[in-house]
Amino acid sequence: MTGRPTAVLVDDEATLIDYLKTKLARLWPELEILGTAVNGRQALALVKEVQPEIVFLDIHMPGMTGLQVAEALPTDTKIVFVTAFDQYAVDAFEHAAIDYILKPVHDDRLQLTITKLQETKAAPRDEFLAVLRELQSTSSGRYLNWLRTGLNDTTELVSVDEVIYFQADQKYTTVVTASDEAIIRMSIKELEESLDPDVFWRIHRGTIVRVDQIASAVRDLRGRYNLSLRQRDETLRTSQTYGRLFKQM
Amino acid sequence: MNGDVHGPWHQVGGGFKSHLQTYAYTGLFCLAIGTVNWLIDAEVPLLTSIAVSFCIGFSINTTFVTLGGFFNQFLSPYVSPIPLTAIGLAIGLYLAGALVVGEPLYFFTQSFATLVFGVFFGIVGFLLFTTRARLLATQAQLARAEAERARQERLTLETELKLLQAQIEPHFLFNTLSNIAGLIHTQPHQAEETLLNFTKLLRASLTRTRMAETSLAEELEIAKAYLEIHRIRMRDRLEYEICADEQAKQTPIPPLLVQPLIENAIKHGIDPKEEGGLISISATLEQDSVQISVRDNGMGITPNNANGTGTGLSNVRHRLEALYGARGKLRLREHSEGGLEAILTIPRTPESDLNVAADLS
Repeated sequence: MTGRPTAVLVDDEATLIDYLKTKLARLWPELEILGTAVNGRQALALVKEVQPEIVFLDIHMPGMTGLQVAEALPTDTKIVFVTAFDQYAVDAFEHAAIDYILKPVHDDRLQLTITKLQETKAAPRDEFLAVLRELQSTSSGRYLNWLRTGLNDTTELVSVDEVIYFQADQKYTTVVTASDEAIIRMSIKELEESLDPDVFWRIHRGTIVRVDQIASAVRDLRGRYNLSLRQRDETLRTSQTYGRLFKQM
Repeated sequence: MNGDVHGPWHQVGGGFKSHLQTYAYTGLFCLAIGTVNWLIDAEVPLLTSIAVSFCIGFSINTTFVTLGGFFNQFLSPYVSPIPLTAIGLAIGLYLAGALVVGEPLYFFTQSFATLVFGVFFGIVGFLLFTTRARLLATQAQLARAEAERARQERLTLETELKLLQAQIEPHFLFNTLSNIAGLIHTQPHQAEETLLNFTKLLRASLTRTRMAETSLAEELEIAKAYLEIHRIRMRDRLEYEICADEQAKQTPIPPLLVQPLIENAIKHGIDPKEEGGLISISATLEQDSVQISVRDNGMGITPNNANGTGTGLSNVRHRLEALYGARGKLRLREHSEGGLEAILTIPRTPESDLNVAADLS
C-alpha cells in the first residue's frame, strides 16, 4: 500500500465517533479518515466505496451488529472492534489476538492498537471468522423463548420461563402458568423440538412439563407416575412409555 | 443411556427397602399376636399359633403391596384398606388352613374363633399400619412444604440481587461514561446534563433497592433520567412520552419494577431498529390496582432478538409474585401495527392488609 494509511469509523453514537476521531488525529496524524457510518448497512456500503485499510467497528449497533458487519468485510481489511463492555467478546478477542478497544477510549490503549496496526497485517481470516461465528451462536438462542397466545390480532406473549406445563387440547395446545392458562397454535411435537430438553420433559403423548416444577412422583401398578406440581394443584399423569424417565436406579 | 436420573422430586412408595421394612414390622406384629393367641387358648401349640398368625399377617401385607395401587385409583385412601384387608385375610386364612392344618377351608368351616380373632387383629393391624403410613405421608408433606418455602425464599433473595445488578448494567455504565468523556470538550453543557441524570439514577438505585415502597411519581422521575441518558446516545432515534394522571402518580408502588420494562423496550425494541422509535409510558388508576403501560413501536419479537429478552422481565415477574401473589401481573402484548406493550398491574392494597380485612369481616 502506498501513501497514508486509511480508515473508516463505524459507531451508532455520533459523540463517540467524534471522540475517537479527535484522539486518532492526535495520536496518529498520518491516518486518513475516509468516512464514518452509524449502522452496519451504511458501513458496508462505505467500505465498498472507499476501500479503507482499517475499520474501527462498534459491536452494538441497530440492525446488523458489528460482528455481522465484520463477517461481510473484505478479507484484507484490518478490523478493530470497539465496545463499552462485552465480557464474552473481549475474552474471545484476547484469545484469538483480534484487536479491540474499550470505551471510553484511553490514550495509552489506543496507542498500543495503533502500533499493532502499523506493524501487522489483518488477523488470520479463518480463525477470525470462527471466533465471530462462535460469538454469534451464543448470542442467538437455540430454544424457544416466547409463545404467542390468543387468536386475534392483539397477541399476548408468554415467556417460556413462566410455563409450568403444556397440554395438548384437540386442535390447540394449552399453556399453563402459575396463575393463568392460554392457548397457542403449536403442537406438542413442535414444542418438544423447540424447548430445552434439560428444562422440559415430555411425559405423555399430550403433555410436556417443566422438570423443576415436579414436586413428587407416585408410581401406580402399571408403571405410570402421577406427578404433583409445585405451583399448581392438579396432578399430571405420565404414560407408561415416558414413565421410565422417573425410574430411579 | 445416561444412567440414573435424579430428579428434584422425591419418590413416594415402591422402594424395595421400604417394603422390606413393612414386612419386618408385620413379622413382629404377627409374633406378638401369635403369642397372645396361645396365651388365651393354650390348647393350640405356640408354633402353630404363630404360623397361622404369620400366614394371615403376610397375606394382608402382600395384598396391600400388590393391589394397593390398583384400589387407590378409584377408592379414597381411607376406604381402600377395607377391601384390601378383607381379601388379605381370606387368603391368609386359606393358606393357614392348607399349610398348618392341612385342610384349606378349616378356618372357614370349623374354627370360627380364629376367623373372629383374625378379623379383629386384621382391623387393629390395618389401623396401626394406615396410621403409620399417614404419619409418614404427613411428614413427607411437611418436608415438601418446608423445601418449597425455602425455595421461595431463595428465589426472592436471588431476584432482589439480580435487580440490584440489573439496575446499572455494565454495558450501560461504560457507555454512559464514554459519552460523557466524548461530550466534555465539545458540548460541556450536555456532558453536565448527562452526568447529573446519571447521578440521579445511581443515587436512586443505591438507596431505593432497600426501600419497600416509593411513589409512582418518583419512579417516573427516574424513568425520565434514564431515558434522557439514552437520548444522548441515540439522539433523535429515541422519542418518549410519559403520561399519568395526578391521582395515579401518588400511588405507592415498589421500586425497580418500571425501569426494567423501559430498559427492555429500548434494548430490544428501539435500539435494534435503525430508524429508532417512540416509547410511551402511561399510568392509570383502576378500582383496586394501578396499571402501568410501557409501549414501544420498535422491532417486536423476532427470531434474532428473542433470546435474552426474558431475564429483565422474569425478574420483575418474580418480584411481583413475591409481593402480591397472583394479584400482581405483568402481561406482554404484541400489537398488529408493530412493537410491544408491557402492562404492569400493581394491586393497591398489599397482601397483608387484605388478610387483616379478611380477619375483621
